Amino acid sequence: MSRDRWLPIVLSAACALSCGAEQGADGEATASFDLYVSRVVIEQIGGFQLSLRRSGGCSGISRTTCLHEQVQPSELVTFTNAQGNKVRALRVDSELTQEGGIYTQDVTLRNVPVGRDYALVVEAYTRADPPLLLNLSCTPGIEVRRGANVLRNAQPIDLPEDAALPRCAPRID
Amino acid sequence: MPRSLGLVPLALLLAASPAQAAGVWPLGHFPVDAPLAQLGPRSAEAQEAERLMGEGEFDRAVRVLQRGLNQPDVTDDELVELYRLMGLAQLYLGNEDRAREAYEKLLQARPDYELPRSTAPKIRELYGRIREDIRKRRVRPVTIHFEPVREHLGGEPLEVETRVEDLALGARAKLYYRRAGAQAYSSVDFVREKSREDFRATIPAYELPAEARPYDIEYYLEVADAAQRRLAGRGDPFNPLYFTVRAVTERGAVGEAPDAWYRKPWVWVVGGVVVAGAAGGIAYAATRQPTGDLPVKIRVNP
Repeated sequence: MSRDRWLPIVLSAACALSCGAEQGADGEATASFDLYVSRVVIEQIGGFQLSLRRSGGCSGISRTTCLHEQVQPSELVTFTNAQGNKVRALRVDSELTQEGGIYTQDVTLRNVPVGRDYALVVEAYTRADPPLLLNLSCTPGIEVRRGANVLRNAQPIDLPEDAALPRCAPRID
Repeated sequence: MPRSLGLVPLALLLAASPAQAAGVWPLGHFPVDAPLAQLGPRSAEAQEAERLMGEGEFDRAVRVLQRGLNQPDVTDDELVELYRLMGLAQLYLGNEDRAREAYEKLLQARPDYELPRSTAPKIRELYGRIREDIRKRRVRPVTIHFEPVREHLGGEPLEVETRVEDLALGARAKLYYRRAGAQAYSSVDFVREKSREDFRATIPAYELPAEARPYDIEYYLEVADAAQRRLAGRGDPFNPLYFTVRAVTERGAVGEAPDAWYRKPWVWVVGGVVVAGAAGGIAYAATRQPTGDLPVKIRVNP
């Protein structure tokens, strides 16, 4: 088992053993354990892979399995990356910023063929080499019109407290 | 006494119909007359030769006829009559080749000419054979030597020179012209110059005005016989030659006449490329699927 898979657990256990419950002023203990575990996972995100499913929406899409293991390449819409190459998935490094209680990052998919009822799939992957899937989200009902489109909020990617043990390498070529 | 006088009885037999050969004609009424409908005014030489032939003076008649043929201002009608008498006189003298030559020239001038009915059968037979030869085009074709005109200064008459060899009698050389785009041709006759084979035609200046923009004149040469059958030519109504009349510059002088823009090959090459590119672009745009940019906000729940 790789170090990335054990790292969140080891760190969590070490923290729990070394720090334990903090004694509050009123004698009650406040635990920062949950927040600490989540922060570790956020920093573990190396980047995101975005894809558009042509049809079928989000039905049958599991959040814990790499997209390429669930759909055929022909089901994905082709668009262009920053280098102008045609791709079926856009990968971006993680540059999340915190907005309130959620972390966000804006990305633009270029030259997407006009269409409707696309499903937007965002896969979060680790900083490991090769990157491994942490989790994914699927947003149905995406419509793309000619030219510039309005910003669409993707469904949030949930990072489970068990650190979402990576399951597969999500890379789509 | 002329040597040819002894041939008079033979000539009488050749020239006359049986009734006439029986001695109906006095010597002064030798049967050399042609139908009036076929002939115009007769030259003095023709009248004198006819008189001499009536007297049996065929050698002298030939000389008189040759003198008449050498006149520079002989009309075609006069030439026809002179050659008809020449053919007859040569036959009386026993020179069939020369008679044939004279009749050939006569028929070139008047392809439909008929000898008088009173002409002797042997002469009519010879004449018929010669005419058949001409119909089969066994005579030499007309040849035109001509240097095409390329451009011309507007506002001045244009003289076109040509050399026409073996021009048949009665045939005419004409220059037909029209402004490019016009429907009908105008024409001017070629006039004989210093020699019998050199001709010149002039397009008047008012037909070639100098204008602000150059323009083209289409033209062709044609030699046609008396029956308006084309014997030779350069160009034709459907495939004419052309020359450019140069434009007047702003100062009033006549400037260089650039070739019309549509005659420049590169114009057509560039035009073809542009049209092909436009067609390709339209086809590409028509078949290309429209696209859009989709901004996405990735969200992560910690």
